[in-house]
Amino acid sequence: MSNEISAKEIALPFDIAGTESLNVDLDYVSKLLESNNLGYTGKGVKVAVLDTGYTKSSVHPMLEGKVILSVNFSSSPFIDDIVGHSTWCMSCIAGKHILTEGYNLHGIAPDAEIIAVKVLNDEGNGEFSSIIEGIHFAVENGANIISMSLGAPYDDNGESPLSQTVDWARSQGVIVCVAAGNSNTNGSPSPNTPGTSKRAITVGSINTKGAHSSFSSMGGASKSPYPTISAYGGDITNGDNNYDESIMGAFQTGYAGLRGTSMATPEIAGVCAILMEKLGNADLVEQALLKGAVDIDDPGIDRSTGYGKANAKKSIETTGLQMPSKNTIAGILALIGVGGALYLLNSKYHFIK
Amino acid sequence: MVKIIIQTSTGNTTNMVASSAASTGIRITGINPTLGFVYADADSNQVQQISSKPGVIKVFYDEPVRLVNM
Repeated sequence: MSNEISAKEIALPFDIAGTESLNVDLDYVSKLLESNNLGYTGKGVKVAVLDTGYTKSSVHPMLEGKVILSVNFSSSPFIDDIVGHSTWCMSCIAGKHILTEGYNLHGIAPDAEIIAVKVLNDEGNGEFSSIIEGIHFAVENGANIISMSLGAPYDDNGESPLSQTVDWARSQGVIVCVAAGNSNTNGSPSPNTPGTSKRAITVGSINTKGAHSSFSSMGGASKSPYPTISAYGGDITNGDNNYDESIMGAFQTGYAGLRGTSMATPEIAGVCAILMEKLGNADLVEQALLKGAVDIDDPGIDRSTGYGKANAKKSIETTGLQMPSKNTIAGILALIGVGGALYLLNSKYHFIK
Repeated sequence: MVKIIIQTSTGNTTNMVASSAASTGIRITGINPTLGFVYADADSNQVQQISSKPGVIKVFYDEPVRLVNM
């Protein structure tokens, strides 16, 4: 986790003349998110990943010791992640530090714990019911955050049973991060259910140059803003200046560069895990996440990137005065016990007798 | 046959609606009283019948969802 930022230029199999191709790693993304070296790593925070499963029989090196609970609600008979999508998302949130083929990979919140909930089958398909039950399971089993890189490409006005269940989870004090979708066509409204849920943190994608990813779904939907916030999901563009960018992470038994709001969503879940460790409360986490976002694209909240690009450091800074630790409080009580008084001035505690 | 989600009030009403739906021949595949959902397989006639039963708020199709990949 050095502070040096680098992106690797690669030649993809489908590379064509005039195309700039980048494969960036998770360490690079974490630096853009400013999520390293904050003193918070997601310790004690449980993140449920509702996706394509978890291969228990042959745990990916990035996920060793990370998954504390797993369950299968999908139509596939086994929990294994045949698709690999879930493995990528889990590694992005809490993956162990791995150096491979010159890539520096680690989770955004490497000390968070993962609850792996398989709600999509081995073809990547599910139904409302499997996901609803997955959300219920996650909440009942103590998840602080739910990450869902899934959806259906239409606007349910936030009223479908699935969106209602997302709202229910949030009412139980659980942050729910949902992919905005990859359905953008020429800026037309392109929401995804349950990203349309009123209380979801709906995650759009930007590339590492800080521009809206061409595919990332945009607002104009029942929910506003849509997306809520943005993180790094790569990009792919066609035309005179082709640009192709993927984000490297764990995939199946190896590693792969993927792109999409699917990738941006667990990044935000990781940032939320960092904030949850510090703040311990979903409302405060959501406030800090949005207040710390850096405005990009159109000035102010906009329909392509929402509040802007997430920034963990700025979100931490918005939380202001550090609450005293339990040890500090014990010390304060001891001081008061010896006949003094404590007061707060200029953000510092002072003791007088 | 289609897969449906019957929305009810939470708690005992969910179980009551599930029993009522089963009596119309609908195949109940799951119940979640905490969230107020009954999951079932039904034909279009049965969907119409259950929609007007006491305790039923709304009947939804159990829609497909996919991972959001490129």
